[in-house]
Amino acid sequence: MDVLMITVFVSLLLVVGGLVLFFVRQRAGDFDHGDRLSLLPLADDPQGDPVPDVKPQEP
Amino acid sequence: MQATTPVTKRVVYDDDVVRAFSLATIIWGAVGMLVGVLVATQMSFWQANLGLSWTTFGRLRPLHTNAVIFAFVGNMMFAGVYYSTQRLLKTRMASDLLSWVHFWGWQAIIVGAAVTFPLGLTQGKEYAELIWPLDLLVVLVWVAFAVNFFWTLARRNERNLYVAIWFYISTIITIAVLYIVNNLQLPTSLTHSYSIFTGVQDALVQWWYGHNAVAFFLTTPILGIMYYFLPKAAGRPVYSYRLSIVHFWSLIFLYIWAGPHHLLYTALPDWAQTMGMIFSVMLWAPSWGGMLNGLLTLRGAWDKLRTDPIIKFYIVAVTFYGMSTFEGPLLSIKSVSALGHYTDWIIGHVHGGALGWNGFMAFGMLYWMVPRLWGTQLKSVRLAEVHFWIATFGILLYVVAMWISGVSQGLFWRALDAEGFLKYPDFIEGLIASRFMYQMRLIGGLAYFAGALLMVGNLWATIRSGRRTTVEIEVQGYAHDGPGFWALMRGAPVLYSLAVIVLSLVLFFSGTLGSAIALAGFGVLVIAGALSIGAEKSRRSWHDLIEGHSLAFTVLVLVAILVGGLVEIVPLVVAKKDVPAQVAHADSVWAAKGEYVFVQMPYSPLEVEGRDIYVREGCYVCHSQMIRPFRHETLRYGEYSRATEFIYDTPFQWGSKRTGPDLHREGGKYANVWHYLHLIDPRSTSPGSNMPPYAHLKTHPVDLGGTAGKLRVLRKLGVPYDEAEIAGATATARAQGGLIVADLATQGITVASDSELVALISYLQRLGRGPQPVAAVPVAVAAREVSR
Repeated sequence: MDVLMITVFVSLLLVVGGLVLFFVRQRAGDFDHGDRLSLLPLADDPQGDPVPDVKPQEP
Repeated sequence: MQATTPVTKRVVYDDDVVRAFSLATIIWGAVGMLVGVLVATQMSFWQANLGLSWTTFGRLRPLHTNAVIFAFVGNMMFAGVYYSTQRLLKTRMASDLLSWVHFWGWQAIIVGAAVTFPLGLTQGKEYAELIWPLDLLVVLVWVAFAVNFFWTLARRNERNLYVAIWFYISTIITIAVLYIVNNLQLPTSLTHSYSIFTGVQDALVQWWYGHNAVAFFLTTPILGIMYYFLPKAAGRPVYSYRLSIVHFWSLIFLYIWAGPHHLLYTALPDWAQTMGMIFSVMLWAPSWGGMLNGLLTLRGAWDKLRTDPIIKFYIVAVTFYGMSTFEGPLLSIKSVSALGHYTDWIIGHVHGGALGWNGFMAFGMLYWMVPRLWGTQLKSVRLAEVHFWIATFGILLYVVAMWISGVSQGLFWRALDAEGFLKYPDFIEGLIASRFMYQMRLIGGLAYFAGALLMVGNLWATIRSGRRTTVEIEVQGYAHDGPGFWALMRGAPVLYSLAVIVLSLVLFFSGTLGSAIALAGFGVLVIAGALSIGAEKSRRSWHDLIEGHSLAFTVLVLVAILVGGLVEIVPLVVAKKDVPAQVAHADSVWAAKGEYVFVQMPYSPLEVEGRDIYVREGCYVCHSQMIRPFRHETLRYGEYSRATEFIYDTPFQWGSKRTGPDLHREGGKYANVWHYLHLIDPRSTSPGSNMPPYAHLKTHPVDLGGTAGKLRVLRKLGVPYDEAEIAGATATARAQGGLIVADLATQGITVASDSELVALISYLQRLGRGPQPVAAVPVAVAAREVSR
């Protein structure tokens, strides 16, 4: 029974800690920069407009 | 290395390597599935083993799993990584040479596997069967891939790393760590080696690797591909970039701990089992977060699901991801594992992941990417639709058949009558009852394979109708304006996370005082965190900054994936000396009356050779050597297995599936003649068995010239052979073989004493008990036992 109490207590502590960390980071703006980044896959190359094959240039 | 001032550049993507990996995916996918159909046929019809040593189920099953995992999904993953990485970073891969070294090196490894597995050249560890020279090649090729990838990160023209790139980073880093550690081995020849880990340690390291091969080879890179290709196909951004941040970090941190769930109720220490179970259950959250993020990306565009087969493939793939990641944690709960482990339920689970999640993602990606790579349209959308429905039917039939078969087996094995004894004591009854479901599985697999062949034809026609394209873009570099590495490492999330990890370790591994201090520390952290809400204000958030610093990001990924492995593996390695080599008689299962006896004496030279044949033939893919502490298991197989009994076993052979019965207490259960007849023709002793015949072992001699060398290597690994035993290994092996041959001769059977059949019988007769009579050295063995 003691083990159960400790387990529940530690679990609650971890849950509360996780929520606190989440809200800390949310208020700090950790999740606010994604609007532009989430569009990256949609604007990365001219799809549907392939150019004729040419020898690639070395970067 | 990163650009410091914005300059306009022209970039030409290297899509040739993407095309090469795409073609390899198509070819190897068909091969891997074809072998899958063959081994499924063997499960239903033993005659499909073809009577050849190199086409037996035990040798072809690793070929199938490796072909699907490393050839099909591997090449698909690399195609997706090379395609998306260049576009997300707006730069060409840093080195064309390294890209092609990667491509051709990987194909060489696959060909090497395709040749060596049927020849029986294997390490005998699931999904890590490749022999050591091929392991070295894997490491070299992986390093080439990693150097090229991180070099490309350094040359990128986009400041932030998109979420797909994070998953690729975690894949490269983690697979490198897993592969190297799990394949630490000492060679005995060019094609044979022994793992440096033995018994319980080997089991833990293997499933730390095995589980995370699923996590970081079949999941994280495919999630990266999902985060890139699903938005492109849907024409919409990912549902929640914020969710992807939580998804990524929680997934990679939790996944690495879950390996021990493959070893529930085994001889693995209970604390490690519990840890594996708990972290597996926790994986529900990030896995479903990722699944929902994928599914909800289609919000507002669900109409495409009616018309676009690519979207259909993706949505079903993500749905299967959700189903598999629900089922995995479920099976990791100890009481559920007690029912499902060793049964076909696990086979259904892994195929739901591999065919449903990985396969459908691959199909969707190829249908989307191939027309663009060759500058044309998909030849037949209708045929892709047909593929989708055939494959969906196939995988559903497969998975449902395995669920029914698996649960039935679990219930069958554990069924007790009113007196508390086994209701079905004959194992073969369960196998026979599963036969119909095996045939359903075969039909499902055939349907899936047929769908894949339609795709091959469709894509081939597509490629023929187009021509290779080259994509050239104009980009601007970016101004590197973020803080340095150490400044990022001092960020609040890093310090907070490290504090939580340290306090957790103190809590679980220290005494009462340490635990109290750790709990107090947790309280302080929570309060400090709550007080700091809203206090931190800056122009750019910490995660935004870390996404712009590839080195800092990579280091944090490495830390995240190392914690779990270190916590679980280090204690067991350190505890090696604490595993007793001797126990009281009461704990012995074979000893006659007496005092203390050695639970595990080293194998005799012939038994070592027999064990290597057992490993070579892949017996472990159908037979376990791990009796769990359940009444129904001890009634059926004998005393439950203990850690001490495996201290000289390398590689461990606990297995993960019971198509046949457990063999850990096989020694002494049957006479030599029974084993002889069973191996020559399994149905002569076990009517209804689907085991392949091993008559070829009778005519193949054991190379006893190499036995001493094997013992020498085993001694380096801690097996206490003395010099006299090593020097006399060949003679001892012949003498022990002679005893078995003489016994068989009394039944009118003639066989050579150095045949592989005799060696294998000697090993099987040793399982689960102490040293057996070895004519040449009984005195030496007895003397050494007494001296201890």
